Amino acid sequence: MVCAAWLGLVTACAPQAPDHSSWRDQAHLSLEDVGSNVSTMSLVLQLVQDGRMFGKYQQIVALNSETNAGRTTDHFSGEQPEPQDDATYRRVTTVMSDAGDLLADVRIALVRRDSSQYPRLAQELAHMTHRLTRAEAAVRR
Amino acid sequence: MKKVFAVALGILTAIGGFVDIGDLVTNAQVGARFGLSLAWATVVGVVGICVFAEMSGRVAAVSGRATFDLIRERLGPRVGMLNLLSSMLITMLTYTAEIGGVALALQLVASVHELLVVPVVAVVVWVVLWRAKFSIIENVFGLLGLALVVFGVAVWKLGPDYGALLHQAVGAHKPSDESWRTFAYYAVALFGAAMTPYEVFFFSSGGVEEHWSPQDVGTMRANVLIGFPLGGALSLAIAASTWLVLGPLEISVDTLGQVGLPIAAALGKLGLAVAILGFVAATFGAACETGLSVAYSIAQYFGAQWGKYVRPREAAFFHLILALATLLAVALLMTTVDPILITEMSVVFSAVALPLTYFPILVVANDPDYMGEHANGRLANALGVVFLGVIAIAATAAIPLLIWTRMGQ
Repeated sequence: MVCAAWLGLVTACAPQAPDHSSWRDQAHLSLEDVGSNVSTMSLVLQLVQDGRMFGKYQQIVALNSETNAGRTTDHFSGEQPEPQDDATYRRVTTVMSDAGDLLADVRIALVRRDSSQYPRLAQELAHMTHRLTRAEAAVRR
Repeated sequence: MKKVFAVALGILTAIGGFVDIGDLVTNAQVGARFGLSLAWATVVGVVGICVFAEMSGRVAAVSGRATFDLIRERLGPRVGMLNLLSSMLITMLTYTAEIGGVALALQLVASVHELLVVPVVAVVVWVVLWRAKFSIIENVFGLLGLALVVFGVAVWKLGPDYGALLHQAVGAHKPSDESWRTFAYYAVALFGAAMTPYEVFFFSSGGVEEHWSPQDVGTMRANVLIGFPLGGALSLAIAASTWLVLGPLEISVDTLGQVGLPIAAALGKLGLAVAILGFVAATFGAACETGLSVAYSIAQYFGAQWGKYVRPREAAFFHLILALATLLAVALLMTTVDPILITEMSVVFSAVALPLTYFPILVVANDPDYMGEHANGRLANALGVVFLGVIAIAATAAIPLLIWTRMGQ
């Protein structure tokens, strides 16, 4: 019992260290998840531009997308990569972090109802989706 | 005329009351990823719930006693306790998920953090369960739940290729970018969502509350055999709408807000407002049903006075359990656990508990001492045994699939 508790305590403090294959699986799933949240925000922005959503609803969906993407990024950043994955780690965490920043920008614009920003943000979201898809493809290789 | 009205009302409330937070989330998740290729799992689940709800309703109508009451008497306190523990654990988890679901639905219009809404929702649920008549709880929320028909309207408005949708549903082909294990995991989740144990407890106890007699068996059958399949059709409409709007964008559903996006895309603000009304009504109605199911089952097992047809003072133990269950649900939600996660867990663990819930119902419905000439016939027994086999497979596979797929990832 004591040994098990000690083991639990020690492993809880250490970062997760999956092997190469598991780490790549994690990277792929995390990119997919962030991509899903970016696409959600893209759809919300399009619906808002078309006058098909009301204020409170769009705020909540936007906030949820931002929170979920941030949670995924934080979780993935805490996974310890093997040395051979260092370059991929930098690439993946950079694109996920940029996606998080963009989602925050969109949420700010939506809450402020700053419609002049919508066309630019829609373009940036489309570009971000493309970056995330390329990163996913690179991780798969 | 009065009879026709009663049948129509029963069917409508059965349709509106069929969908709860588990159906909303699971069908939207599956629809966005798999389209209608897992429609067969919903269909199997709906047929299964029809088979066992009909049995438990018949037991209530003929014996005048609820299923749990008879399970303990017929199978003894030990088997009764096993049945009670397994189903109560799931029903309590579902009750928590439903209260969380109401909070999430209200958050979409109030823009207030769900943790501030949860205690308010819990108090309102408790007051309704304490003060409101059973017929009001059943009919009002069941009828308001019909607002979810908006998903069917959205599918029609989106103008899909119906042939392709039908081909997807009938062919049951797994999408090429999904693995067999996630396909199987979501099949079990859909089956669990359709066959949640609380539905039969609520149905049979509700029959006793409404003083069903053998003359009401026909009305009860109409409610089950027409209302539940139409409720299942609503579930399929949710899956189809998310497939049409979220599927092409590769959006996975993690929040209740995403479930409404296809409605906004198809029908705009008005449609979205109706969908939110449907979310609130479906989850609030299910919260009342699950809360009552917890209290019904525990009070029936311990032989205490129970039900809404007696004054609260006469069913003090029943109302105490209701209050404690509500407090426990709030305490769980206030730990900041995601209600959607609780929902996902509840539908999968529901599949695990199904054999312990449904086997005793089959035994009691077969017993001529209780049922007389209304005991199960050959068809009911054959269907019951076949579905117990399906339930056993789903129950065995649920936990390994949960671990293997990391909850469907």
